[in-house]
Amino acid sequence: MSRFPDTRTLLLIVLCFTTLALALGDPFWLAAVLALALAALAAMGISPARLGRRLKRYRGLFLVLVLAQSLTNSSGRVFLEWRGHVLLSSGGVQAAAAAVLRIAVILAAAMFLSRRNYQELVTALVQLRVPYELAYMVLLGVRFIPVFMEEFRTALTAIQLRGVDLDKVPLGRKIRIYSYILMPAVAGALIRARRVAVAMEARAFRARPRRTWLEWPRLHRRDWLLMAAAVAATAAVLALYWR
Amino acid sequence: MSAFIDLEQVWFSWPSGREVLRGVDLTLQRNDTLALMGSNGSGKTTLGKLIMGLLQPTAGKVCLDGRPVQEYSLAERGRRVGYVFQNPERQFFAASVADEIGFALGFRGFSPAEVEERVAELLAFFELEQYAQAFPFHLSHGEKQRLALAAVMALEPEFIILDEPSTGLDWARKNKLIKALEGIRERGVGYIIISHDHEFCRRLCRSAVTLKGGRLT
Ligand SMILES: Nc1ncnc2c1ncn2[C@@H]1O[C@H](COP(=O)(O)OP(=O)(O)OP(=O)(O)O)[C@@H](O)[C@H]1O
Ligand SMILES: [Mg+2]
Repeated sequence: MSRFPDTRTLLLIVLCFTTLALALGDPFWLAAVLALALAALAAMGISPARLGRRLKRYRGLFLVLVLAQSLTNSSGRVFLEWRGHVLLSSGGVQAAAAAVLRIAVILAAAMFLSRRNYQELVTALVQLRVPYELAYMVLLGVRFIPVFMEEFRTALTAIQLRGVDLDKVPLGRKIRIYSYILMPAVAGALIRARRVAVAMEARAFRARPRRTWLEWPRLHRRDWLLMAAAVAATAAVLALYWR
Repeated sequence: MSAFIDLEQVWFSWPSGREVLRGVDLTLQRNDTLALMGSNGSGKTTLGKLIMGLLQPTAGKVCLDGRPVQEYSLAERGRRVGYVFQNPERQFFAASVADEIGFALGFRGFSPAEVEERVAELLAFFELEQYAQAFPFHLSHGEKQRLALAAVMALEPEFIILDEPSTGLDWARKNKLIKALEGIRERGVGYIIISHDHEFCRRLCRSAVTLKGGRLT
């Protein structure tokens, strides 16, 4: 049984949106692309509210990005100046908005795959002629990022529960503490990775050069049409933008 | 005397919508010893984390020594209430067993000689001397369990929450742990033991409650 759209079609759509996100520099164009992505997600039954939650998680990063952009870009009308240094200009605001929107588009694009599980993604990559060891490894790597972050947060809590007031510790010692915390997070992640590797070998991963697949979805005409439409739309947007 | 740990109509659900606690009331004095029982997934660990303020209740109040637990910094909470994680691995961060136990002492103004003495004492008590320089992650489960306890005991907290401390311990080690907790109790330090081990709880705790359907009985 095949689902529509096929995972490969979704991968192509993700690729199209990320290309646009990276190629476009104008905040208005990026906003339009974001709107398009959200509409497409909604059409697939994926709520745009989830993007909001993801964006919230990265708000610290955004702030840094916005500040960096607006401080380093002094083109256009100047709004705020201090001793000859431009602090805020229309060019800076535009650059900051573009940077934030760019990340939003990329995060939204990734959400197209949120309804697909690892097995489906690996199958799709293999169908695109990516060696399956590589496909598994890439996806496992991606899977370990949140695990690693979680580990780091737990270690941070654990160390404070041992009576260490991170807010009151001088900087030099703080750095030492952070290196302490990194240790269990890295060790934990490595130990877990090794466990997964052993578990996979124990289940005969890579024991034979060829493997069979429980599902080998086929591309339907609808998929080809959707892919063609996505590529054509992307090309059209780029052509208009660069005209 | 006012209560040391005081939970009032505490409700808790996970963001996924799963409701774990439905109106839990619990009042404990500083020297109380309580066994918290309940089947797998009944929310015992969740309740422990709520008391430590690691999770925030959806509704209700959690107070520590008369003040909302969130008003204390993590470090203050940790110094007053020792918490032994269900998965002891989660609380290790030092490169050696001895460091793991001595870690917090160094930050609390003990001299290196004092730290060394205290660490040696705890290592001996928990029979971990031969692993003093070993990497905590490489210990066996029972050894990790003992190390986690030793590290928390090093802080000399006023109260301790132990999440399934007896799992993975053999009979002799368990007896030893019982002796240790009895000693702690005699010093007027109270504890909550989260456990399925009836025999263990019966020997150590004056009272017992069971978590069922999100309520204490
Ligand atoms: N991070 C989480 N997100 C969502 N649900 C969770 C999370 N952690 C635990 N749960 C759920 O909350 C419920 C209570 O979990 P808890 O760990 O408190 O149980 P427990 O009584 O300690 O069980 P055990 O005896 O197995 O240790 C479980 O149904 C569990 O699936
Ligand atoms: Mg538990």
